Amino acid sequence: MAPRNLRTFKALTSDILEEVCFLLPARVGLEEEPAAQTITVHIACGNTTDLYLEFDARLAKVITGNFLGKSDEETSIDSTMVTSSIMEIGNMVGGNYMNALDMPPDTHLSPPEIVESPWSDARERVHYSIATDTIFAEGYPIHLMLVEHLL
Amino acid sequence: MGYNILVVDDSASMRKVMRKVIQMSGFPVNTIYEAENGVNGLEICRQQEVEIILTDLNMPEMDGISFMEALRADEEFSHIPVLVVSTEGRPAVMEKVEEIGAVEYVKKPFQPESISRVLSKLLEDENGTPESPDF
Repeated sequence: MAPRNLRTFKALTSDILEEVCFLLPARVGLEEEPAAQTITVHIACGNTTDLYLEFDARLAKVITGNFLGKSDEETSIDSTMVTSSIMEIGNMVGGNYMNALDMPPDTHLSPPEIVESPWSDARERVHYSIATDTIFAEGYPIHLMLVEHLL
Repeated sequence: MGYNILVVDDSASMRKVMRKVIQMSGFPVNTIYEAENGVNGLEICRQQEVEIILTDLNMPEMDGISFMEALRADEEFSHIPVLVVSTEGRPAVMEKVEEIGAVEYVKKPFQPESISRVLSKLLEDENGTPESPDF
C-alpha cells in the first residue's frame, strides 16, 4: 500500500502548496545550500497513519508570506505565524489524504503538531511501514514521511 | 450596516486568511469575531450578537460538529446560519454536517471566490436579491 499512498501524499502536498501558496514544484535554485533550520509538522490520521512534512525554515517563511497574502515589502511575519501556517498546511494535507483514501468516518484527523525531526527514530520502529520521499518547491526540498501501522 | 461574523478555527493563520477574504469579498461586515474552537465560539455567541458563523470541523476541545450541535440545541442560537470551512470531504461526515443544518460547505484549500460566493448566496436567500461578489 505504501508506494501508492506515498504517491497520493506527495501529489496532495504539491497540489496544496501550489493552490494555497502559489509554489510550483521547482527543483532548481537553492537546494544546494543545506537547511540551517527545519520545521517538521506531524499529522495523525486515526491510529493507523502518521504523516510528517519537514520544511526548510526559509521555505516555511515563503509559504507563510504567500498563505497570508503578504507582499514582499511586508516583513512582519513572526515565528508564531510561520508555525501556524505550516500546521495549517499539514492539516490540509492530512484532511485531503483521508478524503483521497476514503478512510472510515470514525477515523479522526489529529490537530497538527510541530515535532522534532522524526527521521532517525522512525527507522527504528517495528510493525510499521515507513515510506519517505522528497519533493521540491521554490528550489527547497520538502521531506515527506508516511508511517502506516501494519497490525 | 453590516453583519457580525464569527470565524471558528484553531489555526491563527487560517483565521487571519478568513478575515482577509471576508473583508475583500465586498460582503457587508460590521465586526468579525474569532474563536479557536467550539467552546470559545459558544462563549462569543453568548456575549455578542453573532449573525453568521464560519467554522472548521477538526478542532481540539470542541470540534465543529459538536459546536453546531450545541448551537442547534439552543433556541437562542439555532437560527444562526453556519458555513463549514474544512478539509473534510468524506461522504459520511458531509451527510452529518448537512443533517446538523450547515447551510453551506467550503472545502480547504479554497479559493477566496468560494467564500465570497457562499456569503453572497446567504444574502440572496435573506433578501431575495442577487448580490455579485467583488472579486
